[in-house]
Amino acid sequence: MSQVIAICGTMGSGKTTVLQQLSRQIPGCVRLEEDDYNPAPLRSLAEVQAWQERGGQVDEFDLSLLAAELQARTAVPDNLVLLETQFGRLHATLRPWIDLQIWIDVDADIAFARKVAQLTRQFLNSPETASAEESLNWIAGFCESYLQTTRKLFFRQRTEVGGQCDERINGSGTPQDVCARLQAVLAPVLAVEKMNLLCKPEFHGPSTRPQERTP
Amino acid sequence: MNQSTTDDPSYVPTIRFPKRVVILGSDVTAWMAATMLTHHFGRLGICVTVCPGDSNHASAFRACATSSALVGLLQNIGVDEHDMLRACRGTYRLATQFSDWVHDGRDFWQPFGTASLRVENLALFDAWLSERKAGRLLRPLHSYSPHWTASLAGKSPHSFSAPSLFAESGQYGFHLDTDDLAAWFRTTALKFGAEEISGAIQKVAPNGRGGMAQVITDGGKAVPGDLFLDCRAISSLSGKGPRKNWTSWHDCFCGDRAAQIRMAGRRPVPVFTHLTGLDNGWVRAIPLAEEIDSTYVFASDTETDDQAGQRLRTMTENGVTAGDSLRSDVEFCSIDYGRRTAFWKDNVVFLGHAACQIDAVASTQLHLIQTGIELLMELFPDRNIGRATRSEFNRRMTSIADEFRDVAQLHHVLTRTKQARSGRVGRSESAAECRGLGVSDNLQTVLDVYDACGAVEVRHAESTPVEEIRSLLAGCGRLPARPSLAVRSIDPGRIQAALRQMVTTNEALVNDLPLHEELLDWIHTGPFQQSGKQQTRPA
Repeated sequence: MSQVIAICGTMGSGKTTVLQQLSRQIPGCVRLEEDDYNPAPLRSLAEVQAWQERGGQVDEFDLSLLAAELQARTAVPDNLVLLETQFGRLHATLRPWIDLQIWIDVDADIAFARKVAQLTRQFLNSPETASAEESLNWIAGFCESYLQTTRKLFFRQRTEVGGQCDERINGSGTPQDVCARLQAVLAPVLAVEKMNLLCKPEFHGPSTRPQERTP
Repeated sequence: MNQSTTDDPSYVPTIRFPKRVVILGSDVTAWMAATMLTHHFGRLGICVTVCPGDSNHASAFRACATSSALVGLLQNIGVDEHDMLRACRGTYRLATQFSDWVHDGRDFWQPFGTASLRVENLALFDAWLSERKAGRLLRPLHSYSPHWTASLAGKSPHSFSAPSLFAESGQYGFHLDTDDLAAWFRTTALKFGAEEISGAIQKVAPNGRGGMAQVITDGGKAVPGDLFLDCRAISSLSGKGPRKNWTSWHDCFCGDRAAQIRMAGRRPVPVFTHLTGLDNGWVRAIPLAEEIDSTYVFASDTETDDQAGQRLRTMTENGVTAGDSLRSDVEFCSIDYGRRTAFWKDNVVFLGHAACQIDAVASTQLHLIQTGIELLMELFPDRNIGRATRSEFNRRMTSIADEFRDVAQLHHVLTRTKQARSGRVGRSESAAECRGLGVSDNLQTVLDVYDACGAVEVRHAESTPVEEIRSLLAGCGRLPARPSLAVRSIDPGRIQAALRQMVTTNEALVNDLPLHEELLDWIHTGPFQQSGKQQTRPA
């Protein structure tokens, strides 16, 4: 029987990096990204604000293509699908397909710093794509949008998506650390043959508690 | 209840009942008892008089989460549940979510109605366990419940168009303000014909046989009775030593004190109770119509009131409401877990807090109160109040209360609280840890049998259903050594297909239900409420 594991987290939580690592350790598994199947993602601050003003309903995004892909992938026996998603079970279309949902929990400041560093590196590594002024303007806009909108969305995502997860793992530290924690969660519940592929880490890293931290 | 006695107008009772029933107390227990007795026995000539006690409800929580038994009670007395919800700032309840209960980061749910879920004519648990043990299943047990699906989708248990699965099964509960519920039962009881005596109880005159003869109020009024129901919250927490006639359960539960706070609610309104495990206790969040009531039950030997209050504030302000304003200061109360050694003495029956105080983790307090009243009605005595009746009531209430205690304690068997306090973690040590906390022999037997083969037995129909207990233990990560043998005769492919179909069916079931807040708006502030005219009612 095929299974779908959803990995959720805020922007900058490291879910893409962790899933890349994990998928390399489970040969034959399928990795899907929600963004690839979202025909109308919110790309600008204005779009995000307009969506929030409409009520901020996640079901507004049409993920039927992703659902069809999940149906096709899980029709294959013994497939393991790793799904990177920002909505998880909160989206009604995805809910029936997700067998296990894991939240990668990081403090908002860490997620923000990671994202700014990533974007800055992108500009530095590809100076031909934009001028220095354009790049700085873009980053300044990103920071402003964080203060106005993204920060609230972080909190909402942590509460609503994180609150529907089966496991929450600590997303701080290196990607290897986070991957090891993820393996510790998955090893006891994955099929025997897949479980053997995962190393058993020494500890189960404590996760930070969303309720006790400032959003 | 034997309805024939109340439906037949020509029926004339030939047995001499104790006609003057006097109830001492003013909380939910007292007024629930008054409501049920007047409704069922009023026409038999039994007069129910309520003498309100003092207002010091020593261990009363300000909000309560009910079991589905209250749905049955309301139907039994012919009252519209929306009336009660309106009066009690109520919301619906389909499940309990446990966060960080066994260890940090792990969540699981305990939905209502798991007993009715079957796969290939087997209990869901057995089918699920078989596949889980074989490594072919990632989905947690609770995720096959329609109540869980509805909880995640934020749906209400009732539809505006046709009777829903939840309405037909009656498998749902409520979140209610406790004082409002007492006030609503008072209004109902008075409407049914109960009498209320004004003034506090000044003195209780004994009858010379260990019972009561009459109650004297501070206005000097004497209220004689044949049968007395003592529902007063008696506190032994004033430092006067052990409580008389009281079996303490202090060593069964970690927390002995509770901090409570109210804050502004938010949307979506959860349709479930949320419990969070902490290293020194646990926090319960109950969503009311416009507020969230949070209670932190903690061990006072390792945390002061100030520390606990600050912790609760931090959690509620940062985690739950994201800065919404607090509606109240933190209030504290002590909890004296235990039960009376005898529930019925001569002509006095003890109910509610006067009879038993149980850990609120399983949300069974109100159910236990209701169970006590229903048992009293089943065994309602003739005028002589014979010894056999009293003994039977005491025997059954003792057994029921002990089983409720065991179920509540089961919630703590694998909690992080105990592990943190004992400094030990691991399943192999859990039994010893349990014994260290005073787990009863019966509960230890339940765990041993479950560990061996997955079977669980409950002694009383009033208790938590077997499947809910197995669901709880599975959620805690405690699985039996092997699945049931019966499941081995079924092709795993059929089990997998049936399980997948359950998920699809559940989604379809909740798809057309209104959002929880849509139904709450209709109940609390909708046109029905404002105009007094009946609109399209939920089926």
